[in-house]
Amino acid sequence: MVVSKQLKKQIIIEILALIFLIAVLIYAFFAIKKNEESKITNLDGMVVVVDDTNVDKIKGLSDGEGLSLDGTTYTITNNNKNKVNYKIVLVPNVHDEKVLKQVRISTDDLYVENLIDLERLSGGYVIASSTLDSGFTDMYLIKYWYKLDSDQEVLDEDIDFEYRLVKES
Amino acid sequence: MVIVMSKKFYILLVSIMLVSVVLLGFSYSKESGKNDDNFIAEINKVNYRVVFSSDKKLNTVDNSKMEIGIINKDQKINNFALVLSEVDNKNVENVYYSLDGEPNQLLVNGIIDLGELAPYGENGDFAFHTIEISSTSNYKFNIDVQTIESKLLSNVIKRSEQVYRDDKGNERYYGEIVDNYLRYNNHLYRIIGLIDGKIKLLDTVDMGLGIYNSSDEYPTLEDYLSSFDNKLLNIEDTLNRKSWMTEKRDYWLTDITTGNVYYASDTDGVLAIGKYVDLYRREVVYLEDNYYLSNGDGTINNPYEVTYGS
Repeated sequence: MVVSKQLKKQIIIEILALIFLIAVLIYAFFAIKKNEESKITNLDGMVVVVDDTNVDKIKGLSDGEGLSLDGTTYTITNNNKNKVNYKIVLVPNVHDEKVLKQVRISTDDLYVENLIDLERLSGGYVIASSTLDSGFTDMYLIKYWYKLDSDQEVLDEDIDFEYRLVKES
Repeated sequence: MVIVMSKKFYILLVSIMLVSVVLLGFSYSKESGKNDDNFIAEINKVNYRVVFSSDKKLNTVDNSKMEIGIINKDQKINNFALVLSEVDNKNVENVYYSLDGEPNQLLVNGIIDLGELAPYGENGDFAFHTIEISSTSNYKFNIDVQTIESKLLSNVIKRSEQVYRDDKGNERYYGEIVDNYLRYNNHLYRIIGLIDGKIKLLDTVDMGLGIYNSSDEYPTLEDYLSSFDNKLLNIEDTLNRKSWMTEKRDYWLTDITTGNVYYASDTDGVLAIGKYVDLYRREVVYLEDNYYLSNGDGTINNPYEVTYGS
């Protein structure tokens, strides 16, 4: 059997196309898997997606280092017919004042504050407060870290947070 | 037999590419589509990153306020400035700015000094600022952030290799030959250092001989002992060391912690003494930390000259 030069060329192109398809399939698999790992909740028509897949154990950092973390993406969509006033509350799983005093928190890589200086609500701390029109989406990038000069005792405390949405009438 | 499959081949190839493109588009939208709503302007350079609360534009009519966050990603201290460029190349006059709610200052050369940030990984490697501009005329500015060599006199002092930081955080000139001359109000001074947030000067011209006068302010014992080496020296060691503060005239020193008085001498060293002898009286003057270098290199022939404010 004689294989023409043209067929050889076609086979090579076809193999390359198949490799490309396999690469796309792998990318699609991980992209969809990552998306599915995001926590999605629905509260009275407010759809919240929390993506903290790249958040590691909290560490003692300078503000610059803390702001260079990946952080948590918090996306909120208003599927109600009316606009909604809301607050996002960060509820720590640790209640030791000594530990909480050392936590720095940032929103959108711009505002950096001590956690305990934020408004208290529903057992947590208000990190964002806004109004969302019907059909619109807000997104926040949230990062937290311990102050650089925190004691080892504080650094050993693996604090975690629950995100709570509070709708206001 | 020669095999040619061109039609089937092209159908298969197109099918594979179509499936790939659809999959790619779908997965990309799943992964990154949610980021679309949150636009914040930023500058991301190797040695610093700036995040803006809005796009990098300001105008004096209806968009006069902006918030920015700066991270110094460098391993050294950097001084940052906000640079405002008039969009229409108008000649900018009488534009005022308020930085972090401070009183208005006149905008000069379109530059607002934002101060220094510590090296990356240290406390103080990030700063947040609010900037508000105002004018009776209508100006539109593009905004940029750049690193600049600060001309704030206190930063010039901090950058000097003839200065060290003592254990109280004060910056002090030390050593025998020191370029710390400053001409101010037609007087030639020498800069002792940045002490308690103020620039402390020592007049090169004395007020003549006289007994100790508690209403005058003389250099302190600490100022003198810190001027020899990059640490606080013991009184007994001064004769064996060199300092720019040692002179051929014996002059008054004050110990602010004990209230005792001393005199500095190039032959006797530092000695405690009673208040009722005649020694040279050298005046100490303070400048607020709001003076900018306008000229000079600090040498005796070309002393620093300063202007108030930027």
